Amino acid sequence: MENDEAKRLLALVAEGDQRAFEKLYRAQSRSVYAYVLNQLRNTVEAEVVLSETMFELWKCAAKFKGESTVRTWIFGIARNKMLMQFRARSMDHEDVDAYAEILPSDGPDAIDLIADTQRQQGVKKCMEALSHNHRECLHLVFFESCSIGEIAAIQQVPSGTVKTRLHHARLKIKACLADLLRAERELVAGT
Amino acid sequence: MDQKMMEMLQWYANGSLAPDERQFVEQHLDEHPAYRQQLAFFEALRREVQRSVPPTEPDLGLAATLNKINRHSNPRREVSSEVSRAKHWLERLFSGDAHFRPAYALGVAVIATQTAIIGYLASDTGEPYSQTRAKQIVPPSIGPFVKVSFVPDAKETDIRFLMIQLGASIVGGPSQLGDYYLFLKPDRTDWAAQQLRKSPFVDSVSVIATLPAAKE
Repeated sequence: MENDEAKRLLALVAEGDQRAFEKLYRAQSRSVYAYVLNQLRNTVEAEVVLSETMFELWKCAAKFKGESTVRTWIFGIARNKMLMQFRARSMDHEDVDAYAEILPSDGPDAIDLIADTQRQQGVKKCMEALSHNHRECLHLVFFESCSIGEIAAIQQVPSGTVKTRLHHARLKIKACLADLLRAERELVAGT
Repeated sequence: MDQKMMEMLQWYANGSLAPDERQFVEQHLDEHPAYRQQLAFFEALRREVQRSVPPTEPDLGLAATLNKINRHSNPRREVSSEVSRAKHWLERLFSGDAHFRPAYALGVAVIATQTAIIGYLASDTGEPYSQTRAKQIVPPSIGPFVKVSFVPDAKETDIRFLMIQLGASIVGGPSQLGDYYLFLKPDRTDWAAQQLRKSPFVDSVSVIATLPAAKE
């Protein structure tokens, strides 16, 4: 849905138009759900946060001032709800910070690894091991096709921080993949 | 590799670059094939991120959200429905509905009984309870009696317990010096005096034949 149409619907929602709300809901639900699920990794909790986010949108539609896109605004609400959910369950997560030390630069091996072996499972596994902020950045770039400004607005950080997060996320994934490949080669050599 | 180009490649892969920036990147890719490998990495990442999201219905959670909205928008609706239900019940009660007649009669009977009890209690002056509960003790004219004084820190509860244990009644006192006069069955007087002497709450004990004259 284009931002202008979303803004028009949001204005109607602010006046209490439930049909407009339903239309906006259907247009945004998949994106919001995917975004939340990517972080929470729990379908039940993700649905709850989606519902709470959209309920908040209903209550606060009049507060939207148009300083950002409607999508960015909704994602900002979803992010706050998600953080509350994290606090509620004080979730621990595994990070692969150590990989950044192993492979501190963009070498060609990891790229070859992706291109040549098509190890989708490896990419998935390495992405799941990223920190919340890094995984969130990658999701917003590659699922939502957000610009750097939008990501900065959603994460409420400067653009430079987004760049740094993306850089580190990239290095960590490559290092993680290289590590997986090394382990596989050792396994093959041992048999 | 050029760091700026590396950064631009991911925005190229997600399609958020402006047309002139896209053109710049494509030109760079033609001139430097090494960047194609990097682009392949980003495209693989993009595919994997897209694939990681399960298919969902656009109505997912919509019904629950609408319910929440309705409760939020009309908080009085539920209350008013309760009120209207009660009103309807009362209307049926007084309209002579056959099903409600026994209930109506029972309700009236309960109310009438309660009213009668409350009315009786309100109008009952009765005897003054303060007097019946503090009847004057008439001391026996014939002794012997036990004259006892308690230590200064003896509490009322200690004294009461002692009286109960001994089966004694206080028939006089306290005097100006703090003496109490106890009456017991004649065959228990000496035994009671001995018991009192052993008590840590008692200061002095003596057995006397008659009570001192009461001051008018």
